[in-house]
Amino acid sequence: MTDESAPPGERPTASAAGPADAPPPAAGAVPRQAAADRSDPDPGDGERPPPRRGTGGDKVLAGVCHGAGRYFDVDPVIFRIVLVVLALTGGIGLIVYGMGWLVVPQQGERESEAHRLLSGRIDGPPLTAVLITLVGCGLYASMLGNGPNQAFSLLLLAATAGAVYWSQQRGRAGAAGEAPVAAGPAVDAPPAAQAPPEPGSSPSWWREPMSKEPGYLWGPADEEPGPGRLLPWRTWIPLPAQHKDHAWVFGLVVFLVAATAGVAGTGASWPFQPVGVSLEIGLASALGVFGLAYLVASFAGRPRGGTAFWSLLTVAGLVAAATLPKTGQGVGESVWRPLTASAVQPLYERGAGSGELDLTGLRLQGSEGSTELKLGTGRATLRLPRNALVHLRYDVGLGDVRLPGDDKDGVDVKRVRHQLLDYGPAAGTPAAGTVDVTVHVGIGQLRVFR
Amino acid sequence: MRRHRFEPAALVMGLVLLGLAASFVLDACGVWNLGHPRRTVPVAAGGLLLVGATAVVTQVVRAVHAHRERRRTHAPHP
Repeated sequence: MTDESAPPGERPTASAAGPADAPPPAAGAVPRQAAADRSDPDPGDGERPPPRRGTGGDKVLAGVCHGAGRYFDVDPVIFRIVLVVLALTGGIGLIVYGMGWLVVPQQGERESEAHRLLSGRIDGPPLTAVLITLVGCGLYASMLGNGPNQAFSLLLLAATAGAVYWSQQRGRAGAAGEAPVAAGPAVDAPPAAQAPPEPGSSPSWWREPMSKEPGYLWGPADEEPGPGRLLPWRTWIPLPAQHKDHAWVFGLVVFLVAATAGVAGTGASWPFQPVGVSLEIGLASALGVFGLAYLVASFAGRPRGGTAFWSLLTVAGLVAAATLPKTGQGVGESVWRPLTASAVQPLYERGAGSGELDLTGLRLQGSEGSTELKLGTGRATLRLPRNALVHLRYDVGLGDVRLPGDDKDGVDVKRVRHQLLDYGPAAGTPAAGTVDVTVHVGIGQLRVFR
Repeated sequence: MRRHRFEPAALVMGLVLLGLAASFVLDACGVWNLGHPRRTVPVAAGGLLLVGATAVVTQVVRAVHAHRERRRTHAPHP
């Protein structure tokens, strides 16, 4: 190492292999070592090796931080600390970690976990990664209203990115200065810790026989049962090899068609139907595709485990979508302001959004009116007339109710069933009529003003 | 030539999924009212139990059949 003073945790040059983060045992040049680790035989002088997650004892959970540290040539502890802080303060860390786990393949592997998940081979790690990402998304969604928290997360992310970039620039400048010294022995070093595969022997990942990783939760049998083996739960008629290679295509096609059907069904009904109904139609279309796929597969081949997984997920989504309120039509904001008793419609409804029924301008000449306001999801606002007696009947599936006279600031989410309230005319004003108002809110807030 | 054996459980699964899809479409159209999970979960779970039962019965029948087949081929004929 020269007189250049690098901060701890940073190794700008190959010769400066510090002890900060578990250096490889014998090799001095860390970037070269990373290049030698991958299975690609091309040594890659100018370009860096593709990112790989760590393996073995260096990793803590899935090796994402270790892999990132090796890729960016920065101490992985920095990534670990930043990700933990980001996970605790808003979930972004969990999202980043889960996505990294899914997308970046492990060292020595060709396929990322997302590859395996989408090609129907589902085992524990990708499910855990998906779960971590989902939890992170949920945490992030719960922090959506918290501006300072989000600003902190984004600033920390930006600061980390800046620090990594700066460290790389510095490392590159240092390496350029010492290039003749550092590059010589590194090129001479044997590049292969393990023998590279022969060019013809390893086709692309979709053709590779799926026999490397045993023990999927769902997925194809790892090997065909030999003549002597009795596998009652995985009895498998040996297929012609060419056909077996294309077996997973069926699962992928089914998944894509089902996803298309779901999006098409939801999208087509979205402008005309409430959110719950629209989602239900889309998910039911996808489920229909899965059902047809199973009918075909029962005669034409074994269905893949991935299809069962997605089918069950769709059923769960349908059960959830069926609970959403089916009130009203359309999405948006509406204000209804009837002025005469004859203009009051018997029903005002809105699927999602906000609906305001303004009765303050209503002129009643001794008559009676009755109306109903239905809102699926969102905010219902009711403005009462000053000169009439109002019988208000309301129920809220889940949400907050704010009545005239309440001075509370917070939101109190609860379920309200069939409340009945009477509001007389304002003081000093004779009652000019009677209005019956019924309000149904599925999920949201009801505000009553006078 | 038939390369695949018929899978009754997959057939039942397909029928159950189609039936579930149809019932949820009817629910979405307002013909049926399935709204609460109290009604939807038993329907879905019942269908999946049916699929599981079919798979179990199929495997049992196949195992028994294979067992008999093996005994007939291996046992010496008097």
